[in-house]
Amino acid sequence: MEVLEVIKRLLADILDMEVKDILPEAYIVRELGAESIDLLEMAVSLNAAFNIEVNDADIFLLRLRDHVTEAAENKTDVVRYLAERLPFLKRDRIADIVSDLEGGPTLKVKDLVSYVEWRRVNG
Amino acid sequence: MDITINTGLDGFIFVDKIHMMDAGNIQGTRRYTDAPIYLGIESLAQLGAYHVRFLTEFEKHAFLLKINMCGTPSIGKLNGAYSLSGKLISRSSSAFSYMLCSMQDGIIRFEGEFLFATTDYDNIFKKEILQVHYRDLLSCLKSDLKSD
Repeated sequence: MEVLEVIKRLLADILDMEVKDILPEAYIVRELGAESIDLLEMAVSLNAAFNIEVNDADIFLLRLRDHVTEAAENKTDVVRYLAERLPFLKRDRIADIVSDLEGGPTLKVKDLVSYVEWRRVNG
Repeated sequence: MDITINTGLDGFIFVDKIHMMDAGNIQGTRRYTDAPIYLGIESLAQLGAYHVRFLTEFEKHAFLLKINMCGTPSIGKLNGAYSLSGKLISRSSSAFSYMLCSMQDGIIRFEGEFLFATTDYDNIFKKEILQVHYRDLLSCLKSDLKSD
């Protein structure tokens, strides 16, 4: 089963939702209503399902706004700065995230997929 | 303002002894006398939390987040010695999932999946108090000098 399908099933189980309602572009907190406890449960589920190390702060973008502030303070390009700290995200996705910060938590289902796939390659 | 909470219990340590502990497992015992079932579940939660603290080398505050699928036994009260065991199923940098089990006379009486999380110590959960407290407590529970 491909990574996305496994993640959708895990999220559906944790959030008590239908798998069909979980789309790659869905915001996990904003739209699916995940809370911090759900994210932690998701983290251990990903570890079990894919046998990968899971860093909660990275995968759930918990330090995203700190990084954006740091980039501004250092007068560094924010996309490049974030790409160094969140290497599992492609630059176009990071640009989308930066432009979307005012809307609330930016984490999407597809970001979890990116993290898992990146971990599988990079350990 | 100080608040006093009277639990009606003699103490709040519900593991008598820890016999074995490695990176993925922990085993202990607890003897009950007419104890309600929920104290048996509390024993399992404490056992798992000890293991989380052991894994994090007491550098983090550990707490129970959630219990999944924990069936309760049909017996009304817990009596006698129970073997407690925990197996780490999966983990992330700050969350730990365990299958925790309570057995008596070789029979599983109740078991469940327990999810723990860790957080940095802070002004409420003070490192200078809790780190020493739990390190000493775990050392005591592992000691052969600790009586049942």
